[in-house]
Amino acid sequence: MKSLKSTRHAPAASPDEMLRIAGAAAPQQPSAIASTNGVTKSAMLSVRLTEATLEALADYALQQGTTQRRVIAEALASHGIQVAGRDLEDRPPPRRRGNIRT
Amino acid sequence: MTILTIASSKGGPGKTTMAELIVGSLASEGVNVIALDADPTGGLSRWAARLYEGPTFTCHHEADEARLAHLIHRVSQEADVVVVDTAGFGNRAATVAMTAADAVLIPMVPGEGDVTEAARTVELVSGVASAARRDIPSRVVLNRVRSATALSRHAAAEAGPLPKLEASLSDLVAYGEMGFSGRMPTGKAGAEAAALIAELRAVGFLPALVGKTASVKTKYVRTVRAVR
Repeated sequence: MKSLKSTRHAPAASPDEMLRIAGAAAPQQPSAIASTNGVTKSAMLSVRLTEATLEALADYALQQGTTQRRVIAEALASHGIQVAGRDLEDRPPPRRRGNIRT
Repeated sequence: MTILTIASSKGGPGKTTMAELIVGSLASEGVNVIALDADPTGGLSRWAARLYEGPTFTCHHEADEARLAHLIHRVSQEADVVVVDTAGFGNRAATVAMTAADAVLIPMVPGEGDVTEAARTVELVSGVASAARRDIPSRVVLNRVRSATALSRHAAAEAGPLPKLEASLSDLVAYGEMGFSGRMPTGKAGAEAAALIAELRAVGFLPALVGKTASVKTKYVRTVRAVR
């Protein structure tokens, strides 16, 4: 391992101090992920979209090797919507048109 | 130990690409670097776990601000450099990462909205530094630059008052390929990455190298995913 010179001038803040400072600097900011408060129950969302959109979604998920559900959850999170951490996890394999492109 | 946070209140300026480039380059040099992915979409940790092909580094994924604060505190005692990638919208995890940082890097692509958001992020870092009562320097780094275009020149001019790095990343396919291949770019992109690392060292955002290169183990990256 290389030997490095530290650039740190001040001692590292404690975790509580980091949270306090972040809260003081930007008190209005939301959490990056939604707090589930122990609630893990899931519910269905049914959205009607054109087939072309759904095909594009399926292609993208297949290309990324992930699920359509996760692609949607990531898109929501990237817009600042608080998405529960478990919705951002890869779980079942892609189902729409299977894993293998025909 | 140095903590470098990569942040922007806007999505899409290339934060994760910049993080991949910096972490991959440092790991290639044999630096003991740890990556923290504080973006709930997990782009950096997914890349590190599934695609990255290079010398070992540890990558943690944690977007909850309280757990992130503890994680930063812990890993900062284990690594020479900690690079934190954050989500592209104002959120507490990103602010915690700024609070913990020794320096903040703010990627910006040419565009009116991007200049405005880069300025907001510089202002937020300044506010965090005031609240923390210590200096937290920030620098804007231009990304996806097309040097011969009026747009890039105009965006650079608009960002004029902001603290900027001289180094920038061009609009090259090589960076996109890195996201899919997991390999560090070579050629012009590789030279740009080297120039970026060199300038980050020159401005004190990364520690200067002293001593010789140790043997670098090329093995799979170890990614730790936080359990929620």
